[in-house]
Amino acid sequence: MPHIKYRTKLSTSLRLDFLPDGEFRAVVDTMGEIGYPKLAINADLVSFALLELVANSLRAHKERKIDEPVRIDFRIEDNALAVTVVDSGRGFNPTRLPYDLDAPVAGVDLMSSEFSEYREKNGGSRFGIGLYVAKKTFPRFNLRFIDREDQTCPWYSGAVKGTCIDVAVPLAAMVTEPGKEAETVTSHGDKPPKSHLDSFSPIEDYESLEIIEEVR
Amino acid sequence: MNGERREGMRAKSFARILITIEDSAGYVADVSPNGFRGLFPNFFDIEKNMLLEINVSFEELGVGPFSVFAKARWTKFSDGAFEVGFELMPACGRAELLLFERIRYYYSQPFREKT
Repeated sequence: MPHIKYRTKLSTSLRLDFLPDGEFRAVVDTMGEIGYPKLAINADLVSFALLELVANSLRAHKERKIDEPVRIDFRIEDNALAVTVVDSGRGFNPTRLPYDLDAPVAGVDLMSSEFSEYREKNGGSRFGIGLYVAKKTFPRFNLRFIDREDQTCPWYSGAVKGTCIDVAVPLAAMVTEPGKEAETVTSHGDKPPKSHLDSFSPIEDYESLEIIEEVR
Repeated sequence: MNGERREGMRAKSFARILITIEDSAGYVADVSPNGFRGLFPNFFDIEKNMLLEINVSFEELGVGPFSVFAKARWTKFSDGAFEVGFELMPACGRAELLLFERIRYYYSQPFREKT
């Protein structure tokens, strides 16, 4: 049965609340303690992409002096690892990114003048790759801005409380032949196997355990 | 080709890397005294032993940006990711190497005590 491992616990869901006044080292360490089921995509890359999303959210909270935690929910559902990152960082203007967030990520040129200007503007400390890597890594990626009732709203509405990002990556398919142990089938292509996510059938129902932890 | 490919390696750190020549951005997945493993979300052409200037940033640790020179020693596909083993070159300035050492130190620390 696929599960998420966190420290000594196994679960089908995990919720972590990261407080903005904590050390980032604690975030990295905590994220490093999550054991994912076999994924169809490199688990280290998934971990880095999620760290990017959490780092973005924590930065927004710190910049705007918001004490509320950044929440990240992990779930095993529909033969995929689904993750939701929710912050209260008041959103952002997507047009200030060095690329079109709605455009296919394959066409993004990291060496474009827009990226160069973005890096220059941020003293070279930001590469502007956080959302890019997340979009590139996860076959399913959805970013929306939410208001105080968690309803979707445009970034320019003046009602934005924060950002909600839903991502998902399929679990690796398990192939079993008689007399052989289950073998993990993984992709080795350039792009994540988008079609896998849609073709997977739901996993069996079983009791969902939930781990909730606040990380300072 | 040989590299720092330890089984069960976890992404314990978060340094970002940008290879300007090859137009690719990725992460420092782990660091050894002589080099590091880069992890990228996409494949790109890279010649073995080619000298590259690599920009490194670890904003959350207050490190960066800085550049190092490294040679690609090995490459590997790994579940949709592209891994490159880099060897740091002496052309790196002392300050840059010290910063990289700081990242290596970060990586080498055990997880914090659980409460």
